[in-house]
Amino acid sequence: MADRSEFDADALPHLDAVYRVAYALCRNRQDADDLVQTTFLKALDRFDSFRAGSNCKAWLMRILRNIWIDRLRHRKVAGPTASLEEDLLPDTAAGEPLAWSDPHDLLENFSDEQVIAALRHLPDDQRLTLFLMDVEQLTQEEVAEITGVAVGTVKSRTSRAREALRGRLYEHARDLGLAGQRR
Amino acid sequence: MSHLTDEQLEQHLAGEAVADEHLRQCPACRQRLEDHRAVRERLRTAFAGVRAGEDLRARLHQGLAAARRPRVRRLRLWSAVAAAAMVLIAVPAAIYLARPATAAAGELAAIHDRNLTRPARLLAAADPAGVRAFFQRELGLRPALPDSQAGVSLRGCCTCRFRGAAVGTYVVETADGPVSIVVLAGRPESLEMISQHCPCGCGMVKGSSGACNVAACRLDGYTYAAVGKAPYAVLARLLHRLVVPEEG
Repeated sequence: MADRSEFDADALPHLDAVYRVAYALCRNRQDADDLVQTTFLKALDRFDSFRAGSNCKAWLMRILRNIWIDRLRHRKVAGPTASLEEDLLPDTAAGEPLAWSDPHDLLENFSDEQVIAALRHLPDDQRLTLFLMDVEQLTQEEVAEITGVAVGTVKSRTSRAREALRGRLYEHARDLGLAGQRR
Repeated sequence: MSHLTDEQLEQHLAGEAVADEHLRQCPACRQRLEDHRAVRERLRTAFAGVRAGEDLRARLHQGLAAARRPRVRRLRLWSAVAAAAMVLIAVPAAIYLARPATAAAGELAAIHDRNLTRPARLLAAADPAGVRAFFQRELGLRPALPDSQAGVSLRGCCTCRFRGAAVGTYVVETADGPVSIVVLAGRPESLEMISQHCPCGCGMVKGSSGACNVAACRLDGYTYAAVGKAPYAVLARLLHRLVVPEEG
């Protein structure tokens, strides 16, 4: 159990990381700010339940995720469940794979905001999972705990999310004349 | 030849040596792996410049400080009578401590239940100004409302009956679920709940009824009862974040 006086030292260093995930999940900065503030106030309130020495960043992410899910449910903007949303995605991995001659060079043509916007088009659970894996570089076990699913689900969800993001960016590149062929 | 599964792809990206032989022989899977690696790196760099803004940092520090040092400044006037108030609260509390007196908590919980199950009776007002105007018009009250910086929002408000008198209530959305605030004008004889020590001298009491927790305290001539399924500490904290509206 953590001493509440240590909250600032343990939790506040993760402010930017918490903000990044809120920014990835929310549609605008105002909602992201609000989500971050609520997350930290709730974390302070519950800091007694935080196990000193454990991963504070993952603990904060779990609190943020729960608040975010509650808000989605309350505002009724969550839409279909994650599994249904995933089924609606084009499964490019199983079908015709897209081909990039040099993916690193091609991706440099997109601005950061374009990449983030493409990420925001992913279904909610995929977006969070991919962000935690690829941007925050948490382990599959940590992401499984945060999102409340099995490690195997984290792997498949991450892969499908990245595939969907890759497909979306490819389509955009093709529209811009930066990529042309499918293989 | 079967290609890499999603799981194998992720294992490979995580640095595990899986399906190496297949990768050596399959240009399609090598390309797919390289594409995923490129997307991962580009995603990482896209967020590299994303930081919490200075205004958010300032508001967060304010909010955390307020959560730790509840409402001392706001209760400057009230502190003058804090000692007397503590006596007034402590004596009845001592009397009621030994009995399971939950009638008031039950009545407050019933108000909360009606607020949630009969939303049509609530005037939907998410802005503090609208709620204030409603209470001024209907009851002649100027109750304190949640600090807009405290991470909570208003759902609506209405009038109701408590111990035979018309009182006001409004519903606040919190991270722990909806909470009803019941505003009682003047000083009720007793809420039949257990007195809690609070350094700010707000006369905090707590109780429960069924699944609902209740916390109540006094501020500027009104008694505020917070009712909901949130833990008592959350309700008390919410009460401490109420802000008296500006005059005029």
